[in-house]
Amino acid sequence: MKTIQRSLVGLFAASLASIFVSTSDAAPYQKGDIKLQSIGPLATGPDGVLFVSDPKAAAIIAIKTAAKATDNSSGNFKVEGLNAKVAAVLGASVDQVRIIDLAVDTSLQLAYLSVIRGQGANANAVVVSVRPSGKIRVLSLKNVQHAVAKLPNAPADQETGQGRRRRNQRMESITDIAFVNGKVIVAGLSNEEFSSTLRIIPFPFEGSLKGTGVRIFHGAHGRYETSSPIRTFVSYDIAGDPHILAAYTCTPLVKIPMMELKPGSNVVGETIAELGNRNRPIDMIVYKKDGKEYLLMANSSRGVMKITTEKLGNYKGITEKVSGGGTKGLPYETVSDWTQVYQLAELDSQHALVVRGADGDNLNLEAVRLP
Amino acid sequence: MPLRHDFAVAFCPFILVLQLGCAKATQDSAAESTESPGLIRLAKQPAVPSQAVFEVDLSQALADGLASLGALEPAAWENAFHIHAETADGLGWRELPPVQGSYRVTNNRLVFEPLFPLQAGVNYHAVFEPAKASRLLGGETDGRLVERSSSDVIEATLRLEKPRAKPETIVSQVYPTANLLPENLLKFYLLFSTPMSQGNVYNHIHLLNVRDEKIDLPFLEVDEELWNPDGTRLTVLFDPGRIKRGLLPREQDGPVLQEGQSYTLKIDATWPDATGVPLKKGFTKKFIVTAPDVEMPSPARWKITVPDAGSINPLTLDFPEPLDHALLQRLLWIEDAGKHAVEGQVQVGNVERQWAFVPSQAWKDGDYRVVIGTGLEDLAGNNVARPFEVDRVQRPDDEFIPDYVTLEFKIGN
Repeated sequence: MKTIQRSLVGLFAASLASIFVSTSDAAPYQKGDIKLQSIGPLATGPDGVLFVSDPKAAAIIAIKTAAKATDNSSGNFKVEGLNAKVAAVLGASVDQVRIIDLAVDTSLQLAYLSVIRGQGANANAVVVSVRPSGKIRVLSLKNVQHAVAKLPNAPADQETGQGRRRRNQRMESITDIAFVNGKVIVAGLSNEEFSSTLRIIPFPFEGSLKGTGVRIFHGAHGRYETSSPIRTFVSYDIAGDPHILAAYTCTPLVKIPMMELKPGSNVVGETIAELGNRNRPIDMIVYKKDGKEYLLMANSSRGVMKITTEKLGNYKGITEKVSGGGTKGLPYETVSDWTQVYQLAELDSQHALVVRGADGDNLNLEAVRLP
Repeated sequence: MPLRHDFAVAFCPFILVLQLGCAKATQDSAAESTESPGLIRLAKQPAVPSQAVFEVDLSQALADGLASLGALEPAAWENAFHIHAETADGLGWRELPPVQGSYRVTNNRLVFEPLFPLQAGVNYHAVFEPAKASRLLGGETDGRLVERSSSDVIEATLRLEKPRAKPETIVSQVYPTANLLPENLLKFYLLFSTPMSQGNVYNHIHLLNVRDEKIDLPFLEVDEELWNPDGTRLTVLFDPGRIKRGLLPREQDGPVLQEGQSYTLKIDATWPDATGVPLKKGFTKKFIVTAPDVEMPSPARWKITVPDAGSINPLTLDFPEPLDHALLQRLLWIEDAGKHAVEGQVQVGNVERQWAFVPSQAWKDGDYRVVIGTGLEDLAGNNVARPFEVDRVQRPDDEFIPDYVTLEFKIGN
């Protein structure tokens, strides 16, 4: 999940807006019902566009929402008992509701959650909007302006005979999506082969997407190289060149120049930090404070890491073995009072919006001042 | 004080039970309610009881007035008629937002249709406030159409009973089926007889050491959970950070599996299937760990057994090592000389060391080929094109990697 990631080096809001207007206005939307088979991560785009991933259908749907700007939250966004309230709106018990992802339309101060209600064949894939006032509504998928990009799935299957083989059990989970510089970037993880494909989809969606996959690898210490599925990523400009900073499922944090993400290419991410064991990266955002830029990363077991980006431009990466425990690479600090953060998104220049654990099984959605 | 009707429970408890899905129950319930105007009831489609709607009777005048209003925002209706789900024990439903849905006035009734089907076993608290309903009509009619005082708030608690189901779902298979598995084993596939519940799967899957102690975090806990489309097969990956050489997780904790040791994969019986019913029984798989497998599967080393023309005997491939069960189904097939896939059935056997293909029609004379997607993996994630880990010191560059390789064979003379 990502909001529109601001280009943080020397890009002005005005020029950003003009880029976005030109892309979204050209989007070939169609009006109609959206039938989601499943739901995964979300991302927001320009002019009220919400990108919804549907892993089972192997599709990304761009919905042109008619959402209106809400009152400025000024950091007062707080919904206690988020999971119970979402369950209430959906008319289900709280144990039958799973919050999959959080995205924020920063220009509207509007949060979106992707949610699965129920189990098995009776499960419903739902998007809900949450306003700073705490008002939760299901986003209508009936008769809405939308555009669909199909992700090529299991290419080996598609090129030869169909009838002989059994029903295809392969499914590619979508681990993260983001809208970056006019493109929707989709990271996936297959339930069969251990490969990693990053898909780059120009937006507005058009034409065939075949061949837009980029295979992602990771080289440890410049020697052992494996496929490396991406868990979460964020866009970031290094010396004016757009990059993505990605956390792999095997934990290293890497940087990848956007210009290397060409259709059909193989890309090896350069390790900039090793974040240690028993830790699963969840979400990342980039922000600016006191003239400096930071990367904030929520993790399953190590709290929230605040990573300085000052040296990112000329950082050469980790090429030697890390020994003696601990972490290595870019310096970082753990933000101790940000505990149990399960979802993280940018809200405004001062605040992040997080889904975090509270008493018992309760989850809260709340604005937290950026550290 | 609100006028409270705990309808289903207090008035007609047997109806509540009958409302499980029987047509008669709906009719009984409706008939009962018609005799008691003002009550809130559930009206169900007999075939799909979970798609019930909430109804409340209106006076003729109020019904006519509301019907003439046309479309209103749901939020406006929610003021007058709101239904709250009791989302968990001990949570005050009055503090929770109402269930979202659509409203309509029909046959002198205000009808609320929830956006999603009702969940059996959940209490729904329906509240109708006639005064607020009449206020929707505007000030001048306020009071005139309300036959009760504003304190006449009507409440009902309604529920679809949860069927009491017997556990039937089982773990039907775990792949790989071999009991000797390499130290760098990459994944298990867990197969279930019916779709399973999703969302907390790693709480139910354990790896035990030889002393039956649980090993901490052996698997890559993927929030998305790697299910097949119908939810009957889960892919469980070992943490790749503890397989891959040189990474911190492995440096700190070592590989999850260690050569020479015995382990047990344990699946809890408490894991609910998609209907919420636990498994009929738990599942265990004991295995012994062998040396890491760093070799790529080599089709040149496969033994191919070619059937006779005119027969429907299988073509078999025997491998020197077990290969990935799922990928054997998807990335191996037979083509004829015209490059058309031959129709038939695949059977994987001999602890995933054999692939057998039975054609739908008898083999004809001719040239054929086995097509092998290079993504086909062994148990350690080494595929036909590259090993799981490429040592860039020994192998600095990749050669061109094709999507497929083939094994040619001939049927007949």
